[in-house]
Amino acid sequence: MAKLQNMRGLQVFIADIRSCSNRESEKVRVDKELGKIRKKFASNNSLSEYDKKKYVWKLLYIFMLGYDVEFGHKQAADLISASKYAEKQVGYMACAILLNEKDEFLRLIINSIRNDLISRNEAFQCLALGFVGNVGGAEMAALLTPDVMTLLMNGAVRPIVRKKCALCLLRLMRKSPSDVEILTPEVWSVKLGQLLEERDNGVLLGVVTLLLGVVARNYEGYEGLVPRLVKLLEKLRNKDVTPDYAYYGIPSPWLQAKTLRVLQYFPQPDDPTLTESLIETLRRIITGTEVAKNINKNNAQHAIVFEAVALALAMEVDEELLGSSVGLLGKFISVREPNIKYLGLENMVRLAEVPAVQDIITRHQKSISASLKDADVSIRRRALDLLFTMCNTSNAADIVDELLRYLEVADFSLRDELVLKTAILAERFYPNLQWYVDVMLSLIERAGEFATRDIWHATLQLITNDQGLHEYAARKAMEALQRGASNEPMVCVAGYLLGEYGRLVTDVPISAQFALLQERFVSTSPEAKAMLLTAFLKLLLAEPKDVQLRVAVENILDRYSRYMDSELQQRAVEYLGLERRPDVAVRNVVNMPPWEKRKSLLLRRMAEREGQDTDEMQQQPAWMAEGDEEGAEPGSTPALQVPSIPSGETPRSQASANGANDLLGVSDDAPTSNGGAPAQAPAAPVDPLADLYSIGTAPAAASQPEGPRDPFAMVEDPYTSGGNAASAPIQPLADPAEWYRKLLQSNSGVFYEDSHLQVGMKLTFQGSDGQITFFFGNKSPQTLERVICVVPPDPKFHFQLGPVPPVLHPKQQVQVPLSVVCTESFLQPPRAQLGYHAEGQTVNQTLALPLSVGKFITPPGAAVPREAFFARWRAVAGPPYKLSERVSRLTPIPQEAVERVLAGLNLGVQPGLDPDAGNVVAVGTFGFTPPRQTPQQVACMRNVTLQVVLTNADF
Amino acid sequence: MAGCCSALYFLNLKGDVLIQRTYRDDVERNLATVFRTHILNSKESDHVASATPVRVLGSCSFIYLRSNDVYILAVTKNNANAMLTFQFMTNVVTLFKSYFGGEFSEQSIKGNFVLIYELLDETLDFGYPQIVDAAILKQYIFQKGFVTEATKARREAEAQNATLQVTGAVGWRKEGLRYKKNEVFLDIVEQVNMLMSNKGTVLRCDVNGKVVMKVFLSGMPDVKLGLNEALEDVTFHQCVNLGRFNTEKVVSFVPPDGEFELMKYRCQDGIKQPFRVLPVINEMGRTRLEVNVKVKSTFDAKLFALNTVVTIPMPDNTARAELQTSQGKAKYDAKKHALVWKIKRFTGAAEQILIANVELIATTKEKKQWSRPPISLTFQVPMFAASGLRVQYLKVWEKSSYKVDKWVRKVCKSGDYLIRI
Repeated sequence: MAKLQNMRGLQVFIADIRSCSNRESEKVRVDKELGKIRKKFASNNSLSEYDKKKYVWKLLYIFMLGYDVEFGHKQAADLISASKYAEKQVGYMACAILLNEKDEFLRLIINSIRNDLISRNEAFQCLALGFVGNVGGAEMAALLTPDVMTLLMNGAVRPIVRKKCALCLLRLMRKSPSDVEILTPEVWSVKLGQLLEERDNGVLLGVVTLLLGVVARNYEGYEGLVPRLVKLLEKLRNKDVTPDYAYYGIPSPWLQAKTLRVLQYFPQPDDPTLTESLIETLRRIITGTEVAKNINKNNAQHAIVFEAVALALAMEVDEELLGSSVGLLGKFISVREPNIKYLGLENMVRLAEVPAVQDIITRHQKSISASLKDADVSIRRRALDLLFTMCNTSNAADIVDELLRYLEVADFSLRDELVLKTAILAERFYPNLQWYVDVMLSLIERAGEFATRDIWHATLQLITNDQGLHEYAARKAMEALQRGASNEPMVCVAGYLLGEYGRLVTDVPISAQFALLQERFVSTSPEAKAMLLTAFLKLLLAEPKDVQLRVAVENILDRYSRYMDSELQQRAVEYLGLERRPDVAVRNVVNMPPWEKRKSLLLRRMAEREGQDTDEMQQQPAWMAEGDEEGAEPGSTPALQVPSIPSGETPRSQASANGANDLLGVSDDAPTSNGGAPAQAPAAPVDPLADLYSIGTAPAAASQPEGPRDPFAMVEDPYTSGGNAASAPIQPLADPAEWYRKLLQSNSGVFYEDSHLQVGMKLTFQGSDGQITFFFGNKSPQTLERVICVVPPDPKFHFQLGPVPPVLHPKQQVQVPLSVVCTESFLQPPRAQLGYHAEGQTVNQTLALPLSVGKFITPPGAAVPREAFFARWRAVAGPPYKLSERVSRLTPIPQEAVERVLAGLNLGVQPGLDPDAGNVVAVGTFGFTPPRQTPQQVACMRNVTLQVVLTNADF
Repeated sequence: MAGCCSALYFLNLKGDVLIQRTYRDDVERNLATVFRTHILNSKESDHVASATPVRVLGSCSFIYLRSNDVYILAVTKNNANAMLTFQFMTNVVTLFKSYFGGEFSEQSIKGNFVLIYELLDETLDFGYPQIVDAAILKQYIFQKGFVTEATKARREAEAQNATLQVTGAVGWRKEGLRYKKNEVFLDIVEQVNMLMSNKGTVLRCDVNGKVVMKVFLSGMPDVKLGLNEALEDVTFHQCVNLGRFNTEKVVSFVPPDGEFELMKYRCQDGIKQPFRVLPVINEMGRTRLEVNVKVKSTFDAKLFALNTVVTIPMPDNTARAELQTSQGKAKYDAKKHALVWKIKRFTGAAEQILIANVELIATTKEKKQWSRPPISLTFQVPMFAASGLRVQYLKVWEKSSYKVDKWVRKVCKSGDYLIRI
């Protein structure tokens, strides 16, 4: 470095650059210098070593200013093979900075590096090791590892080289391809053992770091090193080190911390004496630490202590040890210094998970609660975590109280988490249900918008399911409203509770309850308004004689029957109708039924927040979860239940696919709105159908209304044309044809799924009109871009596709509605194109939409008279309107199965219509709307004679 | 009319604010920082900053230009007229120059804060341009701080006059001017922009010309200027009688006193190109380049071009160049990444040639293809009009019918004169 000071040219250049007043002049100066250097490098008469060095320094400086100096790499590499240290040093430094490990150019200098490694000059060796340790890649790992290993094991080499060897080896090990094990445990456990005997502290530190890297990958095979490590620890505790490695009187704290860290990777040693001595050492570390004045000494000590605590935790043997750890950490928490406090809290969280020491931690609850009020937000966060973790049945009430009080003053960034955690604690540890209701209601009241849907839905579900709570909860909610609470979740909760159970609160007139809700009605969101409308109707029905109430409710309903939000409008219109016919209303408007048991929504949400592996149930998108019946899970949170859809789904509750949304759907408005939805497919049991479909062509042909063509030839061919999936590396998880087939039979299911995207589908049909809802769900942690969903026009259909968002964020789910109008009968299903872009790949799929003629067929509402059927049947002339086919089979098909197939095609089976009991007759209406004309309907009839199967279609 | 700007900033090349004036409250104060981080210091600044003078960031439009080492930045939230804004900013630069003795730089701004604030107050009101004419403003905004009683009285009288002048029938000329020697200078300055292919075909060619006058005449003279051609794309100074121009094709006007720009024009047809260039550049392998550039002057042999500079761009990794020229000096300029060939005096109807052998330095990585940017030429040809414009007569009438000395000059300058290679 001494030489550098004499480098005038470089100094002048740097001074020039520094005196540049703006970027432009700097660029001019740099360009001038680069031109000069290029000229020098290109000139044929070779440069002196000094000049070369000088220009490489300049290049390095220019490179660090952000300019491209690509042409200088060769000169920099040339310097590595120079004979003098000064040049070599510049060469290594320039290469380390200019090149990265993936650079092709490195290949050319490996040989000169190797020459330096095996030379006897230890200064050169150090330079080479330093370089490899910083930029070494896979190729270097393959070529240089043996040399580095030999050097490391060579006792004759000075420690300064060997410690660099150890660290360099660590880098090479990390960079070597994962399938190549360059350090085999058989050989290296022995060798590392020898190295651990080393006297020199520097080498030891290097070796322990290497060992840490090795055991972090896999500790197996290295267990034999544990006694040596323990011995090393003891030696260090006994201050058996050279004075230059003592730091503020602590013998090599780095080595101590690292050794403790290495030990954490190993399971508890088998040898009891070894365990004993290890525990003894730990005890000495943990109990022998005081908070000192000097900050550096403190830091060094704490580094060791925290590693020791972590090790004690990992060993989980000695309760007393853990107890004293808690004591120590408790002391840390009550210290004013924020760093120590933070570390204390963080480690305490880990300890709190050990049941044995929970009682001891509880003793520190006061100082932990005090930390919630610390000025530092990260400390508050840790304290919240700790309180959450340490909570148990005995202290739950206190902690929840504490958190509720804290909620009012907590800053907004913390509230979200705080609310969720409080809710979970309340749910997990409540002593009695009234307490739970109190806590949750006051939580919702205080948290406002931070109380997410999951939280108040869970509360409502619990209350609904427990009759004893109804009146109490309604009263409490009312009190909250009277206190002036008017945030939206609270209004929703109160609306629900008063609507359902308001009549139980006898001492407050219904009209007063109504007034409380009404004054908040205007300022709420449409979703809350929908709930409140229901509540108003229920309140009115509870007190039908109150004229004023009736007028007020009618006013609101009347106003909203012309509202632009169709959901609200529909509700208002329906409720208005119900309210005018009290006899119907009383029969149909009843209390919410209890919810079925399911996993806690809150825990699910918590898992989502923390990004943990969510279990299958959570990964299922809402539309799938709808149908499935999950039994109550034993040991899950008490009495928390989530709704499942009432079987008579209304179009509305289908549209609001999120299961939680169903709180909004009144189950008892079925009579009015169900009338409009006769298109509900009778739930055809899927399995027998599939069986039947796969029997072969014969019965399949029998069951297809489309015509004599083999239906599966038709079904299959979309995939041969849309087969570009084969080339894309992102593959669908199953055969799309399979999903297609399933969707033909049921009205919801998977439409498409691969590792990133899941597209679910729900279909509802009414005559010639179909409503398809796509559920696009991003399953991956990446954002999906350029999402497209296109339905190309088809002459036989009229499509209207809702907007598709171009970007899907991770874990985001969106619904895209598609309305279909069938304009004439068809054989080919229409196609849809799906595509997105993720991870540099573009996925494009052309899939058939699961639309068959059967979807547009409506079974008749009532039984068809025999004469009418046969009159129509005979009125139809022969082919092409009436087709018959005869298929022979060895085994008979059960009549039930045929009926199921027909039902799956939406043909209403008419039992007893045909005088021959063996024949099955089915009837349906195929609806289609020719363009710009009114909807039309055509009867479809089917007469299946078993043993002899006839197929008849009439369009 | 949406006015021109909500705030006006003067910034140095680093993006520090030198002086700033806000005219409306609809923009925030820290916009200079936004300008610095998003426009000046953004990665693509080298190209984009010069290429796109109007940028929209957030809800604000940034309209800026650079003069010398100062950026002038106008910020607006409305749909302001961008051309108006540019015109205004250019006028402000001219105005400042005339106040600061012809100089407009960071230094001159730093030395004249008070004066600049005064000027900014007068030139814009609530973002609407007001008076930007130096001659008028100088009558009531004075450069020197200290004045005697006598001059003060005179100036006050003049300042009262100033408003009269602005609103009067001949707003641009004072009454009662008197000169011993009556003189008129007329300069025709033309700028040729051209883009030529390497084969010599003209891809684009136009001329921007202006007629600048310097008038020292007594009384209220009426001046008539006859030009040979019916020009199409013309804009006149406000003093020109447009009615007479439209009917008689005569430029007739009462000139302002001193220097002013009488008219601007643009033409695209019938342009005489002063130079033709035939470049041959061969890439011989990865490290050598052979350059052969011929430049021909096509104007009359009696004329000559001054300070001709031919800039031939070279790849970034150029190391050395051996150069031979038939006239003038040439060298490789690393700052411009180009061969720069300078010829002091290029006579008409002549041909000059440059031959260069260029050595490139090898790079370790595969370079992307050299983009071959075009050769550019700068020059100045006195007494040559590329558009072919000629002055047929210049007549001056005045009541006292004094004798007038008339001087007419022409000069042709290079604009963007580019030849593809």
